[in-house]
Formats: sequence, structure tokens, C-alpha cells
Amino acid sequence: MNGPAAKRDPFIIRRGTGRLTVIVSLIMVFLCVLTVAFSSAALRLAGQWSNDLRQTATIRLPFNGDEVLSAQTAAITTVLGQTSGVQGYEVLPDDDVERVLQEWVGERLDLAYVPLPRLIRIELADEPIDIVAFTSQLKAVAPEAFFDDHSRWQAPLTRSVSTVRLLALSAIVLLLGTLGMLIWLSLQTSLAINARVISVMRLLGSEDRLIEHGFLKRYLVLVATGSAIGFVLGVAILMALPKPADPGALLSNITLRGSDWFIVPPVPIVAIITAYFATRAAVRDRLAKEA
Amino acid sequence: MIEINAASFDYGGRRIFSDLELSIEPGSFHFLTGPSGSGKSTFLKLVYAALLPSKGSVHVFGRDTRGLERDELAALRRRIGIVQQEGEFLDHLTMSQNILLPVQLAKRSNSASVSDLADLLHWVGLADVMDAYPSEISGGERARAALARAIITGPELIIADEPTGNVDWEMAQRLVQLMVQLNKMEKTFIVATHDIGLIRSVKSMAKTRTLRLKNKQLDIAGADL
Repeated sequence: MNGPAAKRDPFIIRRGTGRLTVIVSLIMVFLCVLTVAFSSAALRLAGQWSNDLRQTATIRLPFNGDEVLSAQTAAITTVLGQTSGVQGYEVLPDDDVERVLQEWVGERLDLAYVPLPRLIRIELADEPIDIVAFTSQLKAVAPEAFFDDHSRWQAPLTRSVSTVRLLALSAIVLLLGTLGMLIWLSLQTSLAINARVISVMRLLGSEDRLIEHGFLKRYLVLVATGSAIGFVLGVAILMALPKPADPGALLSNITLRGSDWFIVPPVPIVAIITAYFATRAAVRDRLAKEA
Repeated sequence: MIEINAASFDYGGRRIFSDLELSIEPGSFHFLTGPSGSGKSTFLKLVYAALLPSKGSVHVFGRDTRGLERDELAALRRRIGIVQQEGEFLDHLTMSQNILLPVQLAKRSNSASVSDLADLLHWVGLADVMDAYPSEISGGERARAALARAIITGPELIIADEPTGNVDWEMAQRLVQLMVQLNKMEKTFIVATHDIGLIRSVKSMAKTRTLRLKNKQLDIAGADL
């Protein structure tokens, strides 16, 4: 008696519908994990670049004759040596300057005939430099020298970081929204298949919340299964990605590090919460229409 | 238990009933007869609030069926055992699971009802088919199973729509005996049927009243029944 008479969920969830729900949840959570990893990598790289820019500055001295250029360079290095907030400096050799310029002007222009400016790369200390006093001293020894504290390069980088963050968030919201919509569609099929079950249950005195609970139980198990697999698969693939030699490259950053481990684990939970609301809304909508 | 006051019902622009008046006391046994298409099933649906009167009122257990919220309607249905002609079983559940479904929906302990189920199935003569699926049993067995499902939670009112419609004379007699026994346990019955034999069989064993639906009106049937 215990076997056949044991309580059985009366709802019918077709194998195909169940599998589809698991696969859709798996894909969405997998893509969410990858999105988090990619955006984190981009943000880390941007942070690294921003840090590099913040800790360095450049002085550009236009070519105005070899002798003048050498004299002004010596005077500037003297000023730099006496300025607090400057940790070190390096007068870039002409070859390096050429290489930097070549990236801007291209290979077709022969720089041998171009008067090269002098570039001095400054490493900044933690204590801030007194910009007004320093530029005043700089103008005194080399009026045409230009001090670039890199702030104009940092601004677009900061904007890019915000954009990447917004894009990642939008992608995750869209993925979860798509998951919710697909669950809604899957439920329309299930509710149609279960129309007679619902009708009989209501005839026998079932409360709507019992019917809702039945669908929620089934669908949350399916979505939880798919989300768990998608999460494990996503994390495993990220951890298994080969690491390129260049640590400054985007690909070498695509992995889960530090705070990522606080962002990624809630992804399947958010997917389950999304599924909960989508299921509840779909079932309630149908029950209200058929009341 | 049931009070129907000046109830009319229209369907598709056509009046099915007009100004019905009826009072049904607890523990009574009522038959509902009438020609095909006279609205017997519709009348029963008005009683278990699957339909609402277009005019007038239907009170069941003191509640006006028109003002019921969905949860209240569910609670009302749990006090009524409904036997439909086709049984309305779920094909993917075994007969025992089908019969236990009202227990599950009433959120009662399932284990406590398993012994009740064994007794009940034995009583209605269905002990051998409890593991069978609805498609595997006969019309007579379905009719008895429908009655078993209707009474498993001990409802106060049992509404049956043509319970002997698909069964032979011998099976009909078994159903009659089951219904009479239940009526003796103070269960109220409303049975829609056009089976005069059924009515006469029950009349010979219990006090009954026969209602006749004709020309959109409800009459008390005469001595011919």
C-alpha cells in the first residue's frame, strides 16, 4: 500500500520541457559567470593602467637645437632632483622617443628627418607634488617645456571603466531577463498540458496557492539544477583557461580573483530568484484567467 | 444546507432555469431528474459553485456562492464530494493516488489516510485495482472509484451526476447500496439521474425526495416515482 498509495505530485512536467528549462538555466548562468569574469578582467586591466598613469608624469621639451635642448634637459633634471613628490625620473633615449612617435605617425614617415622632442618620464612618490610651484620652476628653466600629469588620459579611462561596468550589468540583467521570459514561455506549455489537472484539483477543493506551490517546486528544482551545472562549468572553464605570458594582456586577466568570488556565487541564486518570480507570475496569471 | 432563492440561469442568451426555489436539509437524499438537456448538470454546477446564478441566489453551507473568494470556494468544495459521470480521473496517477488526491489537497496526513483508503477500497470492492491506472479499469469500477474519491475526506454533501450512467444493473445496485449506507451516516445526497430503476431502488431503502427539472422550472416529482 505504501508504494502505490504514496503521495504523488499530480502535475505533469514533460521530459522535454524539463530538459529545456535545465539547459536554458545552464546556458544563462554560464554566460553570466563569463560576463562577470570578462568585465572583471577589463576592470582590472583598466585599474592597472589607471594606476600606472597616476604614478607617472611626463615632461615634453620641443626640439630647439641640440645645445639648448641639452642645457634645458640638465636644468630640468636639476629641478626634478630638488622637487619633493618626485621619486625618480628618466630621460628617454631618442630611440625610445622614436618608437613612441612611430606608433602615432605610422611607419611611412621617416623620423630621421623629424626634430625629435625630449621626453622625461617622472615617477611620482606617494606624497603629492606641488604642481603650481613645480610648473613655475619648469617655466623658469625651460619656457617651452610641457608638464603632463596624465590626468587627461585618466578621464577617458575612468569613463571606460564606468561603461564596462554598465555593459556588464546590462548583459547580466538581459541574460536573467531572458531566463525569466523563457521560463514564462515554458510554463505556458506546462500550464496548457496541466489544464485538466488544474481543473480536477480545483473541483476537489484545491487552493490556488497549492497549485502555485506545485509548479514552483518543480521549476525551481529544474532551474537550480541547470544553474548549478552552469555555474560549475563556467568556473571550471575560467580556471582552466591558459594564461598568456603577458600579464598586462586582457586574456591573462580572464579568471576569477579576489572580489570575483563574492560576485559570482550569487549568480545562480539570482537565477533561482528570477525563476521563482517568473513561475509565480505565470501560474497566477493563468489561474486568474481560468477562475 | 442548501437554499436556492429565485435563482435563474442564462447561458448563451438562453434562459436555462427561471426562479428556482429549493431548500435542502442536512442528511436528506434528493434525486434530480428531467429530460436530456433540461439542465441537470448545470443545476449541480450551481450547487458546487462552478457556475453562478444570473439572478437570485444559491446559498451553500450558509454562504452565498456569488460572493466567494477563490480560497473560500476551494474550502466550500472540500466540504462537497463530487461524483461526475466520467469520473474525471488523472490518467497518469494510479487509482489509489487518484482517490487519495482530495486528502492531499486538504493537506491532511497522507499516512493516516492510507489505512482509510484500504478500508474504503475494500468497502467499494476496488481493492484489486488500486495499482491500476484509470484507462485499465471498467466503467463500473470507475463509478465506484469516483464515489470513493468523493467520500474519502468525509464531506457533508455528496453531489453525483449520473453515477450509474456507464454501469450495468448489478453494479448500479452495488452503488445504490453504497449511497444508502452513506446516507444513513447522515451524508446529504443530490443525485442527478434519468435512471428510474436507480431512484426506485434507493426509495425502497431510504427516505428520498425527487426533483424534476422541466420547462426551466423545478418541481417535486409525483407518486409515479
